Amino acid sequence: MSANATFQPVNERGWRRGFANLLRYENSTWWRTRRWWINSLIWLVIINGTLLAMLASSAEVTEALQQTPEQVMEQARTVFVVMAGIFGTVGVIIAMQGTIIDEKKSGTAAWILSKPASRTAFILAKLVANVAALFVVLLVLQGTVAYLQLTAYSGSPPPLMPFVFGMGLLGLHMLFYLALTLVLGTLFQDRGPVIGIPIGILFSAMFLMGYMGQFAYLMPWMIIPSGGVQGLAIEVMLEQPLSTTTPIVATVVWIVIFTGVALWRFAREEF
Amino acid sequence: MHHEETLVINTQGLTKTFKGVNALQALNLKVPKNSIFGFLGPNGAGKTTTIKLLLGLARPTSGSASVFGLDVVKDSTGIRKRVGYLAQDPRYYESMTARETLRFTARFFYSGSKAAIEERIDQTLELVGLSDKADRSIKGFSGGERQRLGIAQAQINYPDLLILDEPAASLDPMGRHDVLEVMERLRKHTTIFYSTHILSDVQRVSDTVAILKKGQLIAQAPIDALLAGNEGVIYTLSVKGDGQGMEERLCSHSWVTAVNIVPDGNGSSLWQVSVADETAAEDHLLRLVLEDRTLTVTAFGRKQHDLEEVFMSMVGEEKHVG
Repeated sequence: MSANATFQPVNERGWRRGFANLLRYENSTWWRTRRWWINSLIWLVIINGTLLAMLASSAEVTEALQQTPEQVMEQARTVFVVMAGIFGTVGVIIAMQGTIIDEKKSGTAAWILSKPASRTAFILAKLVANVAALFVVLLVLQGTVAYLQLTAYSGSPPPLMPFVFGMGLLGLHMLFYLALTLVLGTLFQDRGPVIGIPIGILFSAMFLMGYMGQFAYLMPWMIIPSGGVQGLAIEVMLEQPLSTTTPIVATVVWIVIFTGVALWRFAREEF
Repeated sequence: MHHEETLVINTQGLTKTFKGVNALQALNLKVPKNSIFGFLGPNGAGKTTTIKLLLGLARPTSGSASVFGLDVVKDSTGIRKRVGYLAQDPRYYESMTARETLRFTARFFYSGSKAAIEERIDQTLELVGLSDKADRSIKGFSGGERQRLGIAQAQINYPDLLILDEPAASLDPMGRHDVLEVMERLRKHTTIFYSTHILSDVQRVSDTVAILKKGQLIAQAPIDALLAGNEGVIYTLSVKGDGQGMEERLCSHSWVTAVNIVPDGNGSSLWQVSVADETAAEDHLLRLVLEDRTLTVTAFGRKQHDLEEVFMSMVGEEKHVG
């Protein structure tokens, strides 16, 4: 129609078509609603609250077990990594469970895709916005508060870069479950398997690690302490040599595979 | 003008199968430019499936389809740039207001001049009568308001083709009236392809109609041709009095092919006179009947089918449409 001559058409092409608009929307679901601070508060209480409780009761425990302050600090970091690694990941799974499924079921995905937006842009906008928000809420905020708590307790800050790299590994662990939840959302039509499978994989490490043999190296389980394994994130934070790098490489590969399958599957979805 | 240029939608043997069931069978649909094209059929006939195939929301099992000459599988984004779509049960992001929904929709098409986009949003809200609810969350919108918002978002981009799936289904008579008025207003600028179960609406605004049954196209024609039926030209007269002699006199004329008189039991009867020559009938039929002083003609006209009659005769045993 001639009336649109005054408008400047969107010039995104190919897979990028609609990406900026969709990313803006996905970001707004975190930062223009109560979602970000509710999530921040919940996970602060659970993750850093546990660390605070541990540090607050450490004086009695230290005396009873005759531990050095350094040993207490090591334990505190381990507690933090366990809490962030397990409960932070649960937070990721809960936040991501309905991301694709809800839009497929409600019809909003069909509405969006009736506009000039690519299916790749639809998936990537969700991935990018949720990775950014969850990393801020579950990694940056939790890590910063934990670092401040550890500094306040010991009177001097723990080594910063090992702490940051350890948090990076925690982030990789979370990203595995985020990508897994995303791909399951493209494969299933109900929330059950989308939340059940990642939770099952996360907690199976605690009980089945000993039976997994070499397979355990191909999963992200060894990144956090579980099933008697100290955890690569702890090794990095404590400046110990890494016992293995295979789980890190395997986790990166899984994330790429999950993202690729999510894009492939969603491109074939019929509405 | 080339044939392709005059057709906005052109499907050839378009077929869609779901788990072995043919939802759409070898559909050959031709939608002319600037038409208001009514797409009718009973529940499950394949109307929504056709629309989804045209928009790239589903893939054809076989056959092909083009919109503006662009292939629906290979050039789906190119097609969607020029199309506005209203779904049968439109869903939007509930956290948004009507204005935010339109802004979000507009950004798929336009960038730059925010003022121009906001002006367009205001115009569109005005057009569908939602200006006073523009900044309310759509969570609390009624079905009719959602439908109005649906029409607004479908035409925010000045589409060359509007695809509306049951646009007036959830509206009250006033809302329906408004929607039809909007459609009539837009016909100058765009082609409208819409499915509906409200046959009177189709008869009022459509210029071309297609009827689908069990995934197969059973009729496609300009509405006038469809309403004329295939019985030839018939004139009807409501007559008081005994018309036996007149029936014989009429039958003696070469341009009269048949006379059918149905008494109504009150001394009146309905006459259906089939004719071979329309002009002769218009000139002579009424005069001939009125020559008989024992007869009184209370109504005279050319028989018009209504769409419901045509639809029911074609679709057969189906009782509901939609």
